[in-house]
Parts: sequence; structure tokens; C-alpha cells
Amino acid sequence: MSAPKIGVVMFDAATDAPSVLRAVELAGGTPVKLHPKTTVAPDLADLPLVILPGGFSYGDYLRAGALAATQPIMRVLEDAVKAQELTLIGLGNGFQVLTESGLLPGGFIANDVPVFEHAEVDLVVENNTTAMTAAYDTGEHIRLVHKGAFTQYTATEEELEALEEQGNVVIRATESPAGSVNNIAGISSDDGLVLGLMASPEYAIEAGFGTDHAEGPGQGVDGQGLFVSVVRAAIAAKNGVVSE
Amino acid sequence: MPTIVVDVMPKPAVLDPQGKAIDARLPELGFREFSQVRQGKRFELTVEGEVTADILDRAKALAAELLANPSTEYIANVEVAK
Repeated sequence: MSAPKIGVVMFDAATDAPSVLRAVELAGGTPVKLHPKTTVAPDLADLPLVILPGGFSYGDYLRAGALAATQPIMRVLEDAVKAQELTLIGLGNGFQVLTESGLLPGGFIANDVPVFEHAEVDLVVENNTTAMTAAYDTGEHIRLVHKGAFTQYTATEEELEALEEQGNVVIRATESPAGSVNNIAGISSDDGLVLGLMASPEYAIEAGFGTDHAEGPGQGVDGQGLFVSVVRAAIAAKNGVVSE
Repeated sequence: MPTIVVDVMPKPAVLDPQGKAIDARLPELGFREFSQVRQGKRFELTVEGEVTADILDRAKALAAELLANPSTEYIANVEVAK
């Protein structure tokens, strides 16, 4: 089978985008760059999954992700998600864009200690039935890079209750470096079509240039599973298989 | 030129790490009169001409749509600057 196409939105100055393009390729997908100003929907039958990469698009002005969320392509993607034709995944800053768009509940505020945090974070996959976690085991511990100054996830009590009750907290930190509520790192919408992760799996895909690991510095490649999951989900969607 | 001022504040103190960080410095600087600092944002919207009720409503709409995130913030004030 030919490599499935995965859309990657190239927000202005999204510094993580090139690494996400590469991660998709290494996982066996064909990345397709999408321009943030586009108002034309991509051929969704051919491109069933889109990633919003991180990298502080438009700075953290106003609120992190708020200005990126007003870009024309977000309307197009939102419509496609509402029509159940598209899976949308936000990584790092991309997750902030999804909360600012109202596609995922909650929001992001300054880190508990309000400085730019760059850390490696230990995470636990709590739900492996999603398009970004299917290649992991439930309960699997993974180590990824966490970076940013406005990465503290928060939500109203009602939103939190709903997230926890529905099993929509997909990935949880053992200890959030930002002080996120309930140590939430990754969440899903009820229908599983919108997913966000406050971490940068694209920096843990190549041995030697990944996270710290028992086998040596930079040997951690726990981010691979996320992109393998994404590629599998795209193949399944293309074959008309509805993911769980 | 008239200016409309929009003030946006973080919801409770728990959602204001920046205010808390400033707060923590006060005793050492000798400011013991203030029990809490909260940090918000002020936006100034310049209007060409008179501020009508309609334009003030548009400012409120902008505040709700873009300037404040209802998950973490609230609009404390929208008014024409004196």
C-alpha cells in the first residue's frame, strides 16, 4: 500500500513543523503541507488526518494559540471535523490552538512557575484506542520533550469531570512540569476526532537525538509510537474503517 | 480620537500564576499593605468618530470572541476611556 497522506498545517514560524514532517515520513506516512490561509478544504477522502504542529506560531501574544486559531484554515478543518470526515491532532502549541478554537475543552495559562519550561516529561498512556495512541499499550510509560511558557492545562470543574468520566484523558504526566490540573497531558473529544497533546513527540523519534534513556543520552524514541498510530489511523480511515 | 478600553482578568487566583509570582515578591520589597496581586490585560480600541451604542456592542463582541478566553478569563470591563 502506498504511504497514507497526513496533512501538516504550516503555521507561520511553527518551528516544530519540519520535525513533524520528518516524523510522519519516518513512521511511513507522506506528509502534505497545508497553508494556514487556505479556505479550500483538502481532498479529505485522500487526506483523512491533519496535524497542527507546535512551535509558538504568532508568539504567545494575546494567549498562546489564540491568533493561530483565527487563521482561515481552522474554519475549513472545523467543518470537516463536524462532518466526521477528519481527525485533527494538535501537538504542543497545536493543542493550544485546539482549545482556543473551542474544538477541545479547557485552556492553557502560564506555567505554575511562570517561566519557559523545557523538560523531559514522563507520561502514561491511559487510553490506547485513539488515533494518536493506538500503537502504545494502555499503561505504557513514555518519555517526551515538554516545552513552553503557557503550557499549564486547566478546565472548569464540569469540563474536568466530563473528561475523566468519558476516559478522554488519553495521556497523563506522572508529574506535570507546568502544574497542569490532574496532570493532564493529552485529551480526546468525545468522538475521538480531535486530539491534543502538550508535549513534542517529534523530538523522540531518532536514536541518538531523542530523549534521555537508560541506554544513554538521546536514545529515547518513545515519540515514534504516536506517529505510527497516526499513520495507522490514516490507513484505517482511508479504507473506510471507523476507528474505535 | 475616542478609545474603548477592554479589561480582561484571569478567573480565580489559581488561574493567575503571573499574579502569584509578583505577589510572592512583595513582602521582601516592603509592600505589606496588599494581600494579593492579580495580573490582567488592558486592550485599547481606537474608534474613528463617535462611539455609538452599536460600536460599543461590537467591542463587547470582539472581547468575547477573541480578547478573552471564557475557559480561563472573564471580561472585567468594556467602556469608553475618559
